[in-house]
Order: sequence, then C-alpha cells, then structure tokens
Amino acid sequence: MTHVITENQDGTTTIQVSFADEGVDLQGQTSIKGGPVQAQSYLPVFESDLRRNFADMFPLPEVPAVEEEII
Amino acid sequence: MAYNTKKIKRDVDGNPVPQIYNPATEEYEVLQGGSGASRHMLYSPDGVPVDTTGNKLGVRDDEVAQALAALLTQLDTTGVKKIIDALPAGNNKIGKVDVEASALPAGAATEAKQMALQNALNALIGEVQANPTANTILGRMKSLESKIDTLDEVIDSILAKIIASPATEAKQDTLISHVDGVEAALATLLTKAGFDAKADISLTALRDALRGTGSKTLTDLANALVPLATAAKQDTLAGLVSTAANQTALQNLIGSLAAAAVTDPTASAALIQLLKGLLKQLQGAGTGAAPVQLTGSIETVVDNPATGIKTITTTAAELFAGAYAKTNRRKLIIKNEDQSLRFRIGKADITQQNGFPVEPGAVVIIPFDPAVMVPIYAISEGASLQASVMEV
Repeated sequence: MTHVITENQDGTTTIQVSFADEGVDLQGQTSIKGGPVQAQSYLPVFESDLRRNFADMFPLPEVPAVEEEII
Repeated sequence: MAYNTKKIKRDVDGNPVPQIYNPATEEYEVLQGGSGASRHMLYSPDGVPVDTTGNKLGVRDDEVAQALAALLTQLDTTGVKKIIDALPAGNNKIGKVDVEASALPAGAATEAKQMALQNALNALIGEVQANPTANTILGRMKSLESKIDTLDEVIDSILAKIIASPATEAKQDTLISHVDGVEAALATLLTKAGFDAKADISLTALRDALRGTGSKTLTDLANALVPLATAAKQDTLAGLVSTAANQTALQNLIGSLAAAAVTDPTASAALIQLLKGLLKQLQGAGTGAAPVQLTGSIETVVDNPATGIKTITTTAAELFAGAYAKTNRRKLIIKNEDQSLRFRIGKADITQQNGFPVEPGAVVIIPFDPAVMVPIYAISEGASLQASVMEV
C-alpha cells in the first residue's frame, strides 16, 4: 500500500491510500482532525478497515499444504 | 705727325695704359669700351668701314632682303585680298576696312524695299490725329478708348450703387435660393404643361418614394402581385378569415363567461369551461390547497448503498462506509456496535466531550442534500470501537 498525507488549512489532514502496488484496484481517502502526526497514527486503522471492508478484492493468503499422515 | 713722335698715355704710376693712336688728332687716346670689351669698328671685305644710321648697322643681309621683298608681294592688294577671302564667316575683327564696292546678297534690305515697308507700316498704323483712318491701328485704338470710357462710366455707376447698398453674402445666398427655387419650378413647368407646378413637385416626390432606390414601376408591382394574389388564394383567404360561420365557430369554442366549470377532462366543453375546471382542480375543494404528490425525494434510494465497518479511535476521523465518502449521498446511517462504549459525532473540530454521543447499540440516521457534501467526523470516548455504517 502507498499513501499520501496532505495537511489542510482548516486543522484537518487528508490521507490518500492506494493498493495498486499490491495489484488491487482500490483507492481510499479520509480526513482526520489534527496534523500529519495524528494522520500517521490513524493510517493503520484506516488501512485495516479498508482491507476488511473490501476483503473480496484482495487475494486470499496462500496456506501451505500439510501432508496428512497415514495412520 | 707720325705716331712715334707722340707720347703715349700713362697712368698715375707712369705705366702705359691701353690706348690707340688717332691720326686725325695725331694724339694717343685711351682705349674706350664697355661690358668688359673694347670698342671696335667693322670693315667690309673691300676695306670700307661699315656705316651706321641712327646707331644701326648699314649692312643688310641678302636673305633678309629677299624675305622682305616676298612679304611686300604678299602685302600688295592681291595678297591682302587672299587673306580676307580666306577668313571664315561670322565675326572677324580685322580692324577698320573701307569697302570700295560689294555686291548685295539676295533678299538684302535695299532702300527701295525699306521705303515700301515704311509706306505699308504707315498705312497700317494710321495717322496721329484726332480721327485716324478707320481700321488702322490708331483708328482701332481710338475706338477702344471710346469704349473704355463708356465702360468706365458704367462701372462708376455700379460702384455708386454698390457703395450705397452693398451686396452682402446673406443677400447673395437669399438670392441664390430664390433663383434655385425658380429654376426648379421652371424645369417642372417646362416638362409638363397645364398643371400646378407646386402639385407637380409633390407628385414627383411621391413617385420617387414609390419607385424606391430600384426605380420600380407600376408594371413591376403588378408583376410581383400576380403570383401572390390569385383568385384561388383570395377565395381561400376569404373563407379562412372573416366569414360569419367561422366567427360563430370560434365563439362556440371560446364559450360564455358565465358557463359552469367542467372538471372532467373527457367531457366536451368550451374553453372557458375547461379553464374554470382547471382552476377549480388547482384550488382543491375551493380552499386553495391542491392535491400534490411529490416524486424524486431524497428519501428515495436511487443508487446501490455502501456499507462497511469503521473503527473509531480517539483520533477524530471522517465517518463513511466505503473507501471514501459516497458521492451524492442522501443519508448516512450509523450504528454503534460496541456493548459498553460510546462515541461522538460532529464536524471536524469535535472532541471527546462536545460531539453528539452515540450510545452503545444506538442507531443514528443523518439525511443529506445530495448536492452538498458535508463530512461527518467520529471520535471514541475511550478505547477503539467499531461502528456499522451505511450510505445511501
């Protein structure tokens, strides 16, 4: 994921994220109260919400195959 | 006496000086000279002294004598004539020449011719007297003088009148305008006989107005009217416009002002009746309230809703369902999914104390004007919690 943090003049900061680097066509944008520091701390929360709400767009993690023992 | 009997001449020192013996005086004489040389006497071959005349030598060279003889020959009458004849035409100043006889060139002004010319000039000029011969120069000048005297008298008379009553520019302008008017009237009168000139001017102006810039004639007008005013078209026009039947039909369509209202759109009625019926329908039961049913309300869902779970932390963040706030959203529905914690919602400057509280399990519905985007921020009062969000 890549992100851009832009501080606004009204005391808010805009966070723009993109998952294109992961091969997912999803871009998100939100605003938080505060500056870049607060935005940086909120960024993981925003990313997590997006990954959960748009889970269908992300590839499922590969589960390593487990060889079954024959008893 | 012989020379040897005479003493020679000596200088102051007693030395002899250059000298000669003069037999005539029988005395020695001091040798005379000049320019560093002594004087000498020339003798001819025959021993005769060369004589002089006026301090000039008496001898003449033969060649000089021959040349002078030849020159003398050239200077005689024949020789001088040859020189004069050889002179080019034009001005040749050769000094004073007396001509004894010379033939006049052809057409030369002889005395007879000059006399004839004088007589002819006298006849042309006329006599210098009070009444010269008529048609001579003096006679015509006399006549001209008389006419000038007459003209002078006329000018004096005109000047006297002008000075008494000068012709000002205004008077001349007035006179010019009068002359112009008279000239125009005369021109019209000359072209047409037997009618009032003033009336003719008006008719001419009317004719020019009717002709226009293209100088159209009545024939042109008639030609233009031919395709426009056929009998069939005139009959059609008469039938459409002002027949009694058409007027009656139109009156029936409009109807009477006192006719009752007709509210049934399927019924046949006059225009006034239908208008009254429409007005009555608009007024409802007559109280001014018309039955209205609204469509296109923001309460209506016109697009797929967006849903999602948002994590609300102690950092006030914008609240929406998807990856960003839904465009043209009409409603935002929020449910607090936490069992014990509450959060607050509001504008961007909310805090944990001044936002609107959303109790655990509570649902908040916020309607929006789709044309105006208003962000809603949420902040948790304690730990992070989750809220279900839907945007329509």
